[in-house]
Order: sequence, then C-alpha cells, then structure tokens
Amino acid sequence: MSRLIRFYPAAWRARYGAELEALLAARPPKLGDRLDLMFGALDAHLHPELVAAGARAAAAVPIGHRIPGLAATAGGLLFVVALVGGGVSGAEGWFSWIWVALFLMLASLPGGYAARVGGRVGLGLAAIAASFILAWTLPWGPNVVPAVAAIVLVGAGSLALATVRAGLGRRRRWVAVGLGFGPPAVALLVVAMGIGGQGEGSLVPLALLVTLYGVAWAAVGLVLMFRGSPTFDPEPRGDPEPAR
Amino acid sequence: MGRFGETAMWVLVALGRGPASATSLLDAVRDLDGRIGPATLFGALARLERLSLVQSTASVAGAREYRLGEGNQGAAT
Repeated sequence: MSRLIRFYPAAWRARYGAELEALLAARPPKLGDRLDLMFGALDAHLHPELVAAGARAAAAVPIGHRIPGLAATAGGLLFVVALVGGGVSGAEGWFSWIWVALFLMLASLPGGYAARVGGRVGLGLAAIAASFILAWTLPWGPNVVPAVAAIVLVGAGSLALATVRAGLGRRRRWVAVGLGFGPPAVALLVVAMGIGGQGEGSLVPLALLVTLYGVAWAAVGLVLMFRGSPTFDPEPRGDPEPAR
Repeated sequence: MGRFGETAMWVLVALGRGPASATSLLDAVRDLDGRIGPATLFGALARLERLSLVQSTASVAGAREYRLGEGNQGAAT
C-alpha cells in the first residue's frame, strides 16, 4: 500500500504519511479506498499550500535528536578508517581505534524509540546480553559455537537495533544487516579457521570485507541523523501543538 | 472546501465528542456519514487545520491526535 502513498508530494508525506500508513494498516483499503487515495494524491499536488507549513514544522528536528545518528555515523567511519589504516600501515595502533568505534556504535543505541518498539528492542537486548554472558562464562576452546554465536548476536543485533532506531522498513533492515554483517562474519570465520591462506597479503581482501560493517553503520547512522531520534522522549505536554 | 465540505463537517461533529486519532476519526465519520475514503478524510483534515478549526497534538508514542481548534471549542459544547 505504501506504493500509493508514494504518489503524494514529499511535503504531504512528511506531514500525513506516517498517519496514513498506520490508518491503512489498521483499516486495509478496499478498491474504492485505493481510488480515493489516487484522487487524494492528485488533490495534494494541486493544493500544496495545505501542508507546506505543517510539513516544515514536522521536518524540524532538534539538534539533540541528531546526536545518536552522528555517533553511529562517526563509529562506522572510524571503524573503516581504523581497519584500512591498520591494513595499509601495518601498525597495531590503528586497530585500537576499533574499540572507540564500537563504543560510539553502542552509544547510539539507547533511546526513547525503545518505548514504541519495545518488544523487538527488548528481544534484541536480551539476546545480546545472553550472548555476552555465554561468551564470558563458558570456557573458550572447544566451545567455539557459543563464542561465534555471541559475536553474531552482538554484531548483528546491535546493527539491527540501529536500523530499527533509524526507522528503516523491514526489507531495508534485512539488507543493511545482511550486507553489513554477512560478508564481514564470513571473512572473520575464514581468518579464525585459518583457511584464508598464508601471509598478510591474503588478509587484505578479507579485511576489506570487514569494513562493510563500518560502512553499514555509517549508512544507517546517516539515515538516523537525517531523521533524528530523541534519546529521551519529552514529557507529554498539555498544550495542543498546532500543525498548520 | 469543495468536495471535502461534507466530510469536514462530520469530522467536526466527531471531534465534538473528544480528541481522536485519524483511524478513530475515520471510523467515527463512517458511522455518521457512511463510507468515506482515507484520502478524503485527510483532505478534509488538512483544510480544517489550515483554517485553525482543528488542531493536532503529537503524542509521546508518535501518533497524532486531533481536537477542535480553540475557535470551535465553545460551539462544540
């Protein structure tokens, strides 16, 4: 149904798009409703003045709401720079920046969006927490499976949470997590199992694959920064907010 | 208002009973006036908001709630 909403002007979608999508999800449209939506799109194009002011107000995102996106973007870029810098120079110091990058990524996750998508976020956090506990309590060595599972859950889980926070649709969430975590996970597995060949040169293509994780974080972070997301939802106010 | 005039009137009647979300409004107007399309509802709402006859409030959960504009409060009661 979102295909029909795409026929509406951007300003109209910015103001009423989310509400219309929610309404159509709650009241699935019949054929007559679809025709009504087509006429509505035409009307919206003919009368842009109806939503111009409201759309500007809706698009105004406080600078504080862009901080989580900024952290995710910075974390992703730093991750890429640290890997590439370390790979090119061969200096170990570069790789220590990866921890800073991971901190920035995780710092972008807590936020008020959790209240709206509590189930999914709670499940993700529980899975991440459980994987940490598994990784630290079980001895390494023969227990490779829980260790790998922990890395997968933490790496993919945190990226998935970021996509939820950025408000990406289901398909884009899968693409971001799949491309951002799949190839890097395979590369890490190849290195861990020692089947990537001998010598530093053979590791370069694998290291490049791992940078995809940072690229995905940076891309999701840019969306999050553009859309904005409060870390703490403001208290509800009694005054109605005119949307003219 | 054009073709949205009648729907706009029923929207005002529905909001006279209290604030409502767009989905609740659609249900209420359909109860009052028969089947209307979702775009007709939003077309009427956009015009009513522009005329300040209706105001919307963003809730914490992200949904919007519509209520009568200040100029309409007395008429509704």
